[in-house]
Amino acid sequence: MKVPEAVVARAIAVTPRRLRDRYAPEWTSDVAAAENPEQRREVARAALTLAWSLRRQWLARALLFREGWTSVGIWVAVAVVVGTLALLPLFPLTLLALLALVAALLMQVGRPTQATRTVIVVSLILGVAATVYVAWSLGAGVDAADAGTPAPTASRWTGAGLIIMLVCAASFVSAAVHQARSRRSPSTLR
Amino acid sequence: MRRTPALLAVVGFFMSRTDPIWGLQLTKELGLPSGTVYPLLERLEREGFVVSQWDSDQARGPRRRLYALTEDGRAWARSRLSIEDPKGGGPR
Repeated sequence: MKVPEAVVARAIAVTPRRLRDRYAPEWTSDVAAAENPEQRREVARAALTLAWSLRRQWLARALLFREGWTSVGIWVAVAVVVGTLALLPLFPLTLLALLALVAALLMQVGRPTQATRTVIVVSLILGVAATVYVAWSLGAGVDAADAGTPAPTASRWTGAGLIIMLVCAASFVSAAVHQARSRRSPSTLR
Repeated sequence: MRRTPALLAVVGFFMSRTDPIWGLQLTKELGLPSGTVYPLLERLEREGFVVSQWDSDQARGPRRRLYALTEDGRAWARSRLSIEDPKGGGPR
């Protein structure tokens, strides 16, 4: 088992740089002031949990272009990951996982309401389903043309699928931005 | 913020007193784990319902970060959490 001081050092390293001065002295002094070894370990674990939460908030802010050039770097990284995943056979599944991760991160900022959460989750699920359908229907159409046979009946709604994709993308982004902007007061993550 | 039992306990405790309280003491008084209290305090502070500052009384031992409810926080607790405020004004 790691000593509490090492866990706190890890928590400080995980915390976004600009918040370290705020939290590091508090965690260090709280661990030192704990009454027994068990409480020291608990405080250290709590610090690490909070540090990861702060890091997730930072990442969400970066995805919303609130972290300057870091945001640009992160979106370039996302684009590279998506491009790489596109080469893999399980692309829809990995894309779904990536989008779910982005959605979960975006829910870390702002003041999520039931409505914004619902819109984000529903548009994510529908959007991915529509993407998978469009990819399948296009492939089925090409295969049918190659074979000189009519395209499957189920693949005739590619246009509708594309519209659903666009609507879902728009509603996902709108809900995420609306949620991120509806803050009560300036965050400690300035 | 979701109206959880931990949130109600923490905010209710703040409402019951006027002086600031140390985060670690809060965990002891309420019997809640630090892993619950620390993130709650961070969220409340981020929302502007709580403010924190270092304890200026060095005679009490190790430095302590003290937390207190803001006026906005009291109003929010009264109106949204229906917690009575001993300083005046019941649930609205």
